Formats: sequence, structure tokens, C-alpha cells
Amino acid sequence: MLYERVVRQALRNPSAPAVTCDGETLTYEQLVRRADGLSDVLTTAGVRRGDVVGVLMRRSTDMITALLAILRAGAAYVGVDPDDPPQRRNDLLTDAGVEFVVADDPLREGVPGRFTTLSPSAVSRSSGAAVSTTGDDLAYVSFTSGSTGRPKGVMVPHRAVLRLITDMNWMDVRRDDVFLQAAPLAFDASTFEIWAPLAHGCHLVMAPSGRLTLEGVAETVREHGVTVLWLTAGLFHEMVAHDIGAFAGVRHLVAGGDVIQPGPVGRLLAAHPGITFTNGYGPTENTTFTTTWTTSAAAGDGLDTIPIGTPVNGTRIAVLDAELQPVEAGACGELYVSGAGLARGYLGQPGATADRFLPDPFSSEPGARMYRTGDIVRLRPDGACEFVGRVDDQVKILGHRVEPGAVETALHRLPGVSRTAVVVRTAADGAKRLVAYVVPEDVPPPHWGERLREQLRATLPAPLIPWAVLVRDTLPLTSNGKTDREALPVPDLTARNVPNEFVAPRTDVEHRLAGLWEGVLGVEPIGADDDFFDLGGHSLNATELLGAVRAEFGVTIPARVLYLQPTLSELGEQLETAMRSGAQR
Amino acid sequence: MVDIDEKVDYIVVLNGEEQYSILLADREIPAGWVAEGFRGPRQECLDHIDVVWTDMRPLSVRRRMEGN
Repeated sequence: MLYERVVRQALRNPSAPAVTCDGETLTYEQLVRRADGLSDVLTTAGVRRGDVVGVLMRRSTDMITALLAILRAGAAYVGVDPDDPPQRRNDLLTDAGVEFVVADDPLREGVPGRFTTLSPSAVSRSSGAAVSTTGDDLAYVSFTSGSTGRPKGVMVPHRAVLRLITDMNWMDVRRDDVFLQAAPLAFDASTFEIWAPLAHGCHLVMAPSGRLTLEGVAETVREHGVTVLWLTAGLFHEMVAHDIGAFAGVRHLVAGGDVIQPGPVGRLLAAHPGITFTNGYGPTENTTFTTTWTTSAAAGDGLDTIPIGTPVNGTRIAVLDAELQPVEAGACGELYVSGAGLARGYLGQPGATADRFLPDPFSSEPGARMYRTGDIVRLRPDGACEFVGRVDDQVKILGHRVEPGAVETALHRLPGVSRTAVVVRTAADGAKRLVAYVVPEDVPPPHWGERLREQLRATLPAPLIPWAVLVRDTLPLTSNGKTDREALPVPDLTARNVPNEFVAPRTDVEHRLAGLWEGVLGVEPIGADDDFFDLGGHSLNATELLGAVRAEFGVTIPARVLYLQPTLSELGEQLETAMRSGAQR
Repeated sequence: MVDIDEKVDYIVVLNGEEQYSILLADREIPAGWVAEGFRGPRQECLDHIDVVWTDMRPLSVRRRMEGN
């Protein structure tokens, strides 16, 4: 299916440039001829329709040739990242049931002998016919990293790719467009980057092989006049901050993979009024994009949030509550998706597939499935969705269900915030604490993190106020360009974390009281002017503290006294008053 | 936000393409799906599917490939 689409372009315009990488360009005719030659090598070696063939290659024109050759043989490709540890690469190939691996010559040595390796430059003299495939045949397998458990190989059929790249309701592809290819093959953004241009006869320009850098992307975009590109949210934010001029010749910029911040989108549209911006959202299980939200300078003033938008053609969405009933407009629910973009399931994991691909009660097509995304979205009255957070990330803090994503959104609305990440940390005593990491747009004022924390109090309920707001120059990114939450530094959760200066306890009562606070809050040192609730106190440990006070001092302090006089010195005074009046009785 | 309470019963269902899934036992089965017969807590249903769903290709694909 995909192969035939590319052949059609080669017949229509054989000398048009198809793919360029590191100074080498193949025309459509050359690309198809090379793919045919390699494809016959694969077939002769034993590759059959329905097989999954490994691709262990760096960005190159050969890589595109290899993909086309694999599809022509009726097989599906699975990209394995050359920068992954060998053990993980081999595990993925084994999990995918791979027998054949097309590998760059320098990488072939590292592939264990149980796999048959093939060189992408091999050419056959025979010329067999292309294996005919249907929309149900697999085009590729993409492994999702998943935060827990073993990686799952998402099996994507040709039909799902065609629904992504043809009859698009959110962008028009022009014959003279130049697309950038920068995402690792193992990441399903590459599906859009590679097959959208090749199916439409456009020019595919690859970022230099090797590690992807902001400079490398910017240089490729400028040098080759890239008009359409996809960037991870992280890279998009960085490029707007450091080299917004690189987008001068770009017609349509698509970003996604993580939450897009409104600030950079506004700056992009202001700097380049002719550009169209799309937020592309979607799980791998529904083939790259599920919903999109598109804006341009004409429409894009006063952006508050960047929604994930409305479904792409061939996809239906439902925002459902826990009873699988549609939520009302304006409410939050879990996003379920269905239609032609659905994957077949997880390779070799029937139980995991059945758990996520559920009977679709809303479809007119009997037996249809819907995929449970695990993403919580808000369905806006205008029909567009806003991303709220992951079901798995929801945590209970002080008995409240807390979405770290909601805290990120609130932080973004504060002036001077460029990027944020909010994570849940568990202190030694088991208490869960929200920790926010913030990157400023400019040099931040002193104690900026503490000020942001104070500003959040105006918009967020107490359980959503981060225990700490840490200011950083940058946030670590994964190889897929998402914020690497695992790599964020873990703060000292037992350190005193309040804006006021530390004043040592003065009286005997204050010293003894500070010892009780340390025990209840798991924080030290405690200062005389510190506020119990600023240090992480809440109604539950307030009760615990007052019990400890009764045991230590033999007096009962009502809870409202603590709420009205929450600092150590204030509570100390109340204690002394109470003890004096108790002694007089 | 599907209920994962292990005390709640699910049933195993499959469609015309012999693709398996699970459904809360008290739910109406959508058109084009039939109960496979297994009933139990969610994880037991999934473990059962791991055993019985041996060929994940849709039935129509299997038939087409075998016809080749």
C-alpha cells in the first residue's frame, strides 16, 4: 500500500528529489530502483509477507530505501535506536519476533548471531514483483517505552498510516513542500515525517545523522528550505527561545509529544506571521496523530492554553467518565479513540491488548474497538480537547486527587515562566509532595521560586501548591525530546522550605515545640517565625501535632488556635498562656 | 478510569475478527461482540486471554494469508 503510493510519485515525476541526507540526494526514480533491488535481496534471504524486519540504522538515504524495500517485500519494519544499550536493542528485536535485521555496516557486528543481518547497500540482480498488501497488513511496529513493565510493540497496519497522511483535515500538503525528518525511527513521529512527503511527491530532507541537536535542525531547515516540520515540544520550546529565525521559511510547523506552552507559540506567530502552527497529539496506538489544533497569527492572539484540539479525519474520540458515559461539555474525562488509525494491538501481548482496546459501544460498525488512552482531557464547549494529565499520574495528596499537569498549567500562566515540570516526590515518611521545576524566560528575580509559590496560592487550592518550586536553567530531555522526569534532581524533602528568614527558636517552649514539629512534619530546622502549614502541615498532621503537644506539655490546644496562630512563636505564646492558666486552676 | 477493583467481575468478549477484550460483567455487550464464556476479576480475564488469543492477526487477514 505505502510502497505503491511512492511508486505512483516516481512514475509521475521520476527526477524530483525524494530524499536528501548528509549531502546525498536520491530522486524518486533512484529511491524506488534501489528499494526494489534491496527488496529482492530480502525476499531471497527468506523475508515473507507478514514478517517483522528490524532496522538498525542511522539517518541516511539508505534508511528510507530500506523501509521501502521491507514494505515492498510485504513485511513490516521495526526501528531500533542505535544509541540504545545493546541489551535493550536485542530484547526489542527478540520481543518483535524478528529474524532479519537490516543494519548499517558499522552496526552489524553488534547484532547477535541468532539474527540474520543484511546490508542496506545489498542489491539483487533478480527482479521479482512487489508483494501485494492490503490495509490490514502491518507497516511497522513501534515500541512504547511505558513507565512500568516491559516495552510494548504497537502493531500498525497500512490503513492506519494512510488515514494519517491522506485526506488530511488539518494541513494541506503541497507538491513543492520540503519536509524535515529528524525523529528516531523508533518514535512514531517518524511515520508522519517520512510517509506524508513520500506519498505526496514532496522532498524529504533528513537532519544530519548522529545525535539530534538544535543547531543541526536549524541548519538543515535553513540550508534546504524546509517548509513543513514536526518538532518535539521540548525542541520546539528551545528553538523558539534560542533560534526563532530558523523558522523564517517554514510554512507549517507541527509540535507535540508533550504539553505545548502558549508563550512560545505566541512568540512564533509574532515573529513569523505567515506560519501555521499545529499542536499534534496522539498515542502510538492510534498512529501518530489523534487530534490536532491549528492556529495562525490571524487567530492566535491571547493564547491562554494550547488545546490538543479535534480529531483528525478517520478518527473518532469520546471523553468518558468512570462509567464509560460521555462527559458534558466543559468537564474532564478519560479520552478514548477509535477509527481507522487504531493499531492491531501489542505484539505478543494479547492480555495487555485486551486491557486497552475495548469494545466500542458508540460505533455504528459492529465489533469495533476503542483505545483507552490513559489521558485525562477537558472537553471544551467548542468541541476541542485540552490535555489535563495522565490517569496514572493522578495522586492523592491530603485526600485530594491532584493532577500535576494542572499545577503546570497554573505555573505557565504566571509571567516569566518558560517551561515547567511538576512531579510527585515521596518523602522518607511516605508523605507525597509536589515539586515544581521552573525554567525562567529571563534572569529571574531573587527568591523567584518562593514568589511563584506564593502567586499560585491565588489560583490553586492548598493541596495543589507545590511543596517547593525549584528554578533551573533547563530541564533534561529524553532522546524523544520529552521532559525526562526521571532525570530531574530530587530535592532534599526534609529541608526547611519557606520564604521567611530562619530565626532560631528562643524560649524553652519554642525549642521543645520545634522538636515536635520536626517529628510531625519531617522537616528541619524549624525557625521561630515558620508557619506550620507552609512547612507541609495540613489538617491530618495538625491533629497529630496537637496530640503530641498534649502529651508533651499536658495542655489541650484547640485546632482553630493553630490555624489562626500558625507560626512556631505564636503557638509557643499560646502554649505558655495555656500552661499559666492551667497552673492557676 | 475503568474500575480496577479486583472484586468486580469482568467477562471476556470477542468480535467477528476474533479480537479479544474485556467488559464489566454487568454491562450490555455492544453489537458485534459475543461473550467468550470466561468470567472473573479483571486480571484473571486478561491472563485467560493471554492463553487463548494465540494468533493476534484479525480473522480476515489470517484467511487471506492462508488462501495465498
